[in-house]
Parts: sequence; structure tokens; C-alpha cells
Amino acid sequence: MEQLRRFSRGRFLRLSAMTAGGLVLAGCNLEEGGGPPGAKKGGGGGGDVDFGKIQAGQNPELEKLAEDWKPYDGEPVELSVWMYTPDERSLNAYKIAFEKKYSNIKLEYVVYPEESYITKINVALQAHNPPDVAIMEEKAWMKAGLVADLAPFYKAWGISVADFAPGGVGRFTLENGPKQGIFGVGDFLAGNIMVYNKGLFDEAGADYPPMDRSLEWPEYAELCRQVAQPNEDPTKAVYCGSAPDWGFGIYSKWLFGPDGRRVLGNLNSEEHIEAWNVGTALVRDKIAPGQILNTITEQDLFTQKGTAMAWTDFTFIQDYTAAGIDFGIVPSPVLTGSTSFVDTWTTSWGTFIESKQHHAALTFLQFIGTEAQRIRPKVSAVPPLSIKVADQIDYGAGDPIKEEYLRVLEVGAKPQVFVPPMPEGAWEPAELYNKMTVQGETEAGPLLDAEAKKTQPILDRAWKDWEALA
Amino acid sequence: MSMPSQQLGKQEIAATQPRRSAAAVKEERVAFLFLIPWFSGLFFFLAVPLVYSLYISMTDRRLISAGKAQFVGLQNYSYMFTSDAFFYKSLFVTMKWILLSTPLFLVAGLVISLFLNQKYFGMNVFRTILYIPAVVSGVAVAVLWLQLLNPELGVVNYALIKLGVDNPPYWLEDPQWAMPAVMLMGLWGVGGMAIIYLAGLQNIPPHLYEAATIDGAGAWAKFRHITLPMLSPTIFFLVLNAIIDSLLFFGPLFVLTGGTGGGGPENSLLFYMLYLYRVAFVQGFMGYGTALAWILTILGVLMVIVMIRLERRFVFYESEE
Repeated sequence: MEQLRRFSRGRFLRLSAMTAGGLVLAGCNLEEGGGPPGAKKGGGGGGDVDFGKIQAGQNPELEKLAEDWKPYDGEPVELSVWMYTPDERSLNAYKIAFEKKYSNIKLEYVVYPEESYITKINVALQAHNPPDVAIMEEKAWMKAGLVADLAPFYKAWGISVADFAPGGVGRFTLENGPKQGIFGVGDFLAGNIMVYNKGLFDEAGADYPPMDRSLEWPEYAELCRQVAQPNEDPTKAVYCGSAPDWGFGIYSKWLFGPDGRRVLGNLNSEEHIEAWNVGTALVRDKIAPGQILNTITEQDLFTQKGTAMAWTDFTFIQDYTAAGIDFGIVPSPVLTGSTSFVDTWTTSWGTFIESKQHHAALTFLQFIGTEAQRIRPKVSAVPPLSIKVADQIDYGAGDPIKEEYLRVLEVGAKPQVFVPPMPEGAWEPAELYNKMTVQGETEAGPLLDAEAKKTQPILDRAWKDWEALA
Repeated sequence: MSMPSQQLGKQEIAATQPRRSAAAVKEERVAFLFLIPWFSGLFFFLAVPLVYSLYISMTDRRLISAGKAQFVGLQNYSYMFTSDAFFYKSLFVTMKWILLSTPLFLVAGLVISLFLNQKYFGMNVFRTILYIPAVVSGVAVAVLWLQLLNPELGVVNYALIKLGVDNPPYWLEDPQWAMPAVMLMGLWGVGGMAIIYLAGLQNIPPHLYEAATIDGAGAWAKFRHITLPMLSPTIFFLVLNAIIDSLLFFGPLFVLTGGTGGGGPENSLLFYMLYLYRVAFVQGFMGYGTALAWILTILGVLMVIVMIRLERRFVFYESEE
């Protein structure tokens, strides 16, 4: 019996191995490389959703709502509003004002960590149960027709996309701008600016950085070396300002060209290589903070006077003021020869085609696009996304910091160049940054050349995938 | 003398079986009736999803896209074995982890358990303290170690500098040191393994040591010829668990690598589960991700089969003698 069992098992294992081998070989004959199935076509997935019936702007229910728009006045409902890292004061103020005005709609805020936010939404979409309102963080949702096009509602709500700052509008429109659809509405205008501590600059006898133009990376590095007070003990060091991996390519045009399609000659341009070389040298020489930023944020470091400059978003301004720091605001550094640049954005709120309570959700989105624009500057430091409202309320008048912020935005705010999400293996700045700040590499040129050659075909494929999503 | 079963015909086999009474048949039916809920659960919540996942692994299903998923046969598997360098990288990282961490944790656990098996004052308190890391959530442990291993502000490098190490490692930031850093974190939680060892040690009959002492055996001989053989079932159990845990290692790694499905510097921590998560939930290739999951399942089953084969050769059960 034992013999028989052994024989059978052995034969079973051999047969299994042969079958598995056969299947693998059969599979190999089907397709040679080229990404996982579905990657080439871009589409092909999505479970049982019949996207043919729910293309953006073609949903009959939404079309009808837009035609005869009036705010929701039906049975009491509760709206699920998904978000990440919210500005609590503003969101609470919206909730109070909105629920007071529309007593039949309750807002239920659901906050996820930023890192897993897109995954949570993706899973909810897969389960055909997306939230009523959400931050539309992933443009692929818009491109795939999963997000309601608000263009007809803008008209009904009496607002225009031209009223809003272009850097923010870029967050809820696609590569060809608003004519392709408006998939969200933003409530504020944020900008990635730099602040500098005037006291630490005076102490070092260094000139303040200019407000009317961006410093070029070599200038920024030189200024950093004048101001920093390096120390082997990181708790005693005064850094100059950081040189983050995303900072060298903060304007996507520098890396991908004006149309977002060309890496060769951009990613490995002399100017980009130079920025990496001088920037990472600051980290290696402990002039700029390195791994310490895994434990403490750059903004906190600035508040504690541990760094003379910091990349920041304007919402932290109140913390710096509260800490008694005398600071100035300037645009972030740029590649040599580039025009000044400040990255601007907003939170783009929208609703999905498959959301269950469109009417109430759209009522909240209307509120975001109108009343919330006036609430936001009252409860937080940042301006509204609507330039029209900012003018009407005279945002920043009499407040030198806000006026300075507006001037910096005027100098550098430009919308980003659209680049489709790239699959595995494409340019990853964190990898190069690790090589140049941890592993001892000092010359970015050959590394960026290799990255550009590797990334160009991936970018070409990403564009094809992107077009196929529609 | 009974005839070998393979020589019996079906009718003869049936004739040799005793007839069941009506009561026994009824009892059997009732038993099956009671088993129906369990079988239903097995069928609907295990068998059906299992078969469905096999189907998904043969489609190009994505989390978000236009159109329906297409059946692509074995293309996902084909791509995995022929074109996906990250698949091999993740497999390599996982196997490297199994080969390095399993012996390390086993030996560390054994050494600690031998110490815990001594009868000193306050030993129970010490055992409790050692076991605490094993009951702390893996994510909390990972967050704690992220701080401890920070190259500039972490306590570990601070201690190393005080001990005279000029250039302490960058730990999780350095591809060469990332895996040792995770092992260090794993070592901290080896108390759980030590407690299982301790249970095994305390089951070894004292008379074996007494007899060995009378025969003049020294401490090493007792350990080699009594403790290790008698502990072999425990070691087998721990090895099996360690391998399965390694294949499924995810939570703490997810935190250590930034919570985005990244694989650490140069993908030095791209464990298989992390890659699977990245493919399925970050990149959204559900079909391909499911195919990866199936390969992981097959790999796990094969490793368990090999271990069970080895059990016969290396594991000693007292009852066998």
C-alpha cells in the first residue's frame, strides 16, 4: 500500500510539474513581454462596469440635473466625503455653514492617510460603491470616465473656470484643459514657496534671497553655504534649506518638455544635471538636511530655527508667525536659465458617476465653488481658488505676509505640464537621490543619461495607455 | 493472513466491509446535515473565490479602466516568467530573507529560551518582558524602529557613534543595510519564538538529563544528544511557521518602506507580498496581481511539501522510539 501511495504521489508530482511547465511554455508563446496584459491597451479592466453608458457628461441623470439645476431639497441624506490630510478648521467651517444652509444634508467626513488614499478610492470604485464626494487625486479616474463632468453645472452655478487660478484648475482638468471636461472644483490656492528666516540670514551676513525672481540652483546652493551652520550633532546644526529629490524637477516641463512627451534632452539636460550635482552636494556636506527629515518635517525644523530656509505651503505661515520668526517669502529655486516658477495647486473636489447621491453631492460641490471661497480665507491663511472672489474680498490687503505671498505667486505661478502616470521602471527621483546622498555617487550626468534612455520608451507607452483609457 | 488490497476486486473489498446498521446510516446523515453549514461556507467563501481568482488571474482586469476585462489565457503568467524583472527581484529578496532570517531567528530564540529555562529569581518577569514585543502590533513596531534606525537622529546610530563607529550605517536608506535593519527589528520580536521553545524545553523529561549525567555527559553532549533531538518537533514547527510568515511578510515592511508599496532603496526590500500589493492596488493590474498571488500560493505549498518530506529525516518524535 505504501509503495502504491509513493508511486501515485510521485506520478502526481511529475504530472503536475509537466502540466505547470506546459502551461508556462504555452503562455510564453502567447506574448513576449510588453507589460502585464491590459497595460498596453490601457483599458480592458474595470470589472462589470459598463462604461459605455456612463461616459463623463453623458449620464442622463446628471444631464437632467444640470439642465434644471436647483440645490437638493429632498429627504434628509448623509453625504460621504472622502479626503486626506484636510485643513480641519476650513473643513469644519464648511460643514457648519453648509449644514446650516441645507439642513436636509449631513456631511460625513472620512479621512484616509495620503499614501493609501488612491488605493482606497480604487477599491471602492472596483466595488461599485465610491463615496458621494471625494478629492479627485487621480487623473486616470477622470480620463476613464469615472468622474462626473461639472462643466454644465459651472454654468448653472454661475461660476466660470476662468474665475479660478490656472494652477488649481490644472488639478481637475485633463491634458487639453477645460474643453476636455471640468472634473472638480477647488476651494483654495496653495503654492509651494520658500520661506527664509531673516534673523539667521542677518547672523550670517548674507543677503536675503530675491522675491521678484526664483534663484537658480547654483545661486541657491551658494547662498545656502553662506548661511548654514553645520554641526556633527544634527540637533545643534542650523541647515540652510533642503534639497529634496522632487525639488530639482518640480516643474514637469523641465523633465518632460513643454508637451510632457520628451524625456531625452530634458531629464538629462545640463541644467538638470547641474541642479542635482549642486543640490545633493548640500546634503552630503550636511548643509541641507538629509535623513533627519524622516523624523521631523522641514516646516517644524524651520519653526524650531533649525533651518534658515524651508520649502513650504502657505498654510504653515501661521505656525511661523506663532513661533515669533521674522521671515520672508520667495519663489522656489529653478534650473539655470529657467523662468521663475511656483508650483500651485488646490484640492479638487468632485463626484463619481457611480456615486449614489448625485443631487446632494452636487449641492455640496456648488457650495465649495461659491460660498466656501469666502469662508476659506476667513479661517485659514490661504487665498480662495477664485481670483474673482479674492479680488472682491480684497484678500491680503493690509497684511504684509499675504501681500508678499501674492507677489511671489504673481512672479512664478504657472500650471504644470501634464504627464501621464508611468508604469514600473520609469524615472524615480528617490532612487537617484539615494545614490547621491547615501551611496556616495557625486556625478549625476551618467545616471540621468541612463534614466532618460530608460524612461523615454516607458513614457511613450504611458501616453498610449493614457489615450486608451478614454 | 490478509491479501494485499491491490489484489482484491471491488466486490471482494465490499464484501470484507461490515454492514452498517440503519441507526448508523441515520446518524451519518444527521452528521452530514450538521456539516452542511460548514461545507456551504467552504464552498461559497473559499472554493468559489478561489476558482474565481484563478479566472481573474487569466484576465487583464484593472482597478480602473474603460471596457470589460478580457480573458487573456496565460499571458499574465507568461509575462511574469519571461519579462518581469521585478517578479524575480521580489522572489530573490523573499528567498534571501528566508535563508538569512530563519536560521538567525531560530538560533536567537533558542539561546534566549535556554536562558529563560534557568531557575533564577524574577525569571517570570523577564519572560514577560521578552514576550511583550511579540504581542505589539507589527505596524507599531515598524514605526518605532523607523525612529530608532534614523541615520541622523536615531538611538541606534547615536549609540554606535558613542562606541566609536565613525560612519554608522544608513540602515533603511542604504540598499546594503536595509535587510539587516529589518532583521534587527525581527530579532527584537524573537521573544515569541523563545516562549514556544521554552514550552518544548520544559517538556523534555528530566530523567534523560539525569541518566546522561550519571553516564558522564557534559553540557554540550547533553545539548547535542538530548535537548536538540527532543526539541526537533518544536524546531520543525517554528521553521515551517517562519517560512510561511516570510512569504506573507507585509505589514511592517509596508510601513518601513513608506506606505506606498515602494520597495526601499533599489528595491532592496521588495518582498513578494509588497510587489503583489504594488501591482494590484497601486498600479491597478488586478489580473496580473492575482496571477502573482497564485504563484505565491503554489510556491508556499511546494515549500511546505519539501519541509514535510524533510520532517521524516530530521525530526525526532519521542513516541517513535
